[in-house]
Amino acid sequence: MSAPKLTPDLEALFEAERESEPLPDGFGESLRARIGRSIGPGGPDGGDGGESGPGEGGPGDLGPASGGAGDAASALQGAAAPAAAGLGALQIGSLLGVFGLGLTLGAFGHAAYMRDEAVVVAPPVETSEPVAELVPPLGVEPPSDLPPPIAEVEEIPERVTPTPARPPTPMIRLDGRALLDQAQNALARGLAREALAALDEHRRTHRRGPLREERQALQVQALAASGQSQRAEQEAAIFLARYPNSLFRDVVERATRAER
Amino acid sequence: MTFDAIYDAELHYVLRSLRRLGIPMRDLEDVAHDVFLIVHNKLAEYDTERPLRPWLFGIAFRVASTYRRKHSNLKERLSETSEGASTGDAKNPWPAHQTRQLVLAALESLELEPRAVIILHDIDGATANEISDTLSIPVNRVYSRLRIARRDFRHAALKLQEETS
Repeated sequence: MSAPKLTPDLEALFEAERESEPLPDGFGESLRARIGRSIGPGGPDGGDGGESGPGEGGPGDLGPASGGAGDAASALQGAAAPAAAGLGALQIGSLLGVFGLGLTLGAFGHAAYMRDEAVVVAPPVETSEPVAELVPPLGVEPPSDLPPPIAEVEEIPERVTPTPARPPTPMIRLDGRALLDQAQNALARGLAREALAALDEHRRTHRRGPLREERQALQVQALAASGQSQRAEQEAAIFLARYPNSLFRDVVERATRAER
Repeated sequence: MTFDAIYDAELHYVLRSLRRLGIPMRDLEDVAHDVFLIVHNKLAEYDTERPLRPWLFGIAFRVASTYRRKHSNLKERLSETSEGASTGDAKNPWPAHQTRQLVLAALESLELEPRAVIILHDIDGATANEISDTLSIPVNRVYSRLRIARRDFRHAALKLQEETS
């Protein structure tokens, strides 16, 4: 399916709008500096942002792209990364800050552009002692057939992608909405006969369904579009008598007016 | 893809989109600031396989919706749009261009959703499926909104031309 082509007059207007124009002087730099202040350490949204230094892609680093710094992904990770000293209150605060920000901004993540079910986990915690030494002694010798104690923490992947969830079962609409959508699309493409066929099918399967008002309005449009102006006017008269306060009143009247 | 690279390459696009979505010049920096803050914070989750501009536009669209809810005085926004576009004075540092003025003013007469559809489809060249993903609406609705938007846009543009001639 594709939309009808633009008429030359509209195309000319939009072509002019597409033309590039220079930014006002200093606008880009001033805005860049302002964003840097907002997301930098102590900024309003991101907690204290961890302790990444300059050049490490920390949250406040918004230098020119050519410098290779300011990677936002690493900036976010930097805000959540525990420092080498361990998970102190500061780091937990950073994690909570990032989590809270995510909740606040959740509405802006249109799902189709997000990675599939990606789960961000904290990077590995570096400790000065082997993990085995941190386990409190139980006073019992471990059995000899156990594997040797873990000497080093293995690298933990930064991103875990779970197996894709089963696609949801499509919801079946009992009111024949799909047929009306089909008719509407056909009308939009100028295929009046196809629209009438879909509407006939809807009438056959959902004669007294809740969408009959919409069906009848579409019927008038489709009849008018197919050149059956007399029938369109008859159907319009029936429609307007039956639904005098309908939201589709304008559409129906316009369809018949356009045919005259 | 780094935030800085996106900022450098797409700042102009974001600003133009915000103007088309009816953000007046005086608030453009504030609103763009909010858009890029969200871009920064959502970038780690963005699927780089998908086209960038529709994603940016989706964010701009949502920020602009919030802005318009807060600043619901249509008259105020309309007067700013026509004034800013026509004079090209110190208040509006964008170069004056009569056709652009007409397009922005005619776009301003549309509801936000059909406006977003016509901008994405007819100006940015996005496909119906991309628009559907960007605005989180069914493809069918993209087509119906486009039809309505073109009709209303043409009507508004003609009216504006008549008024100015």
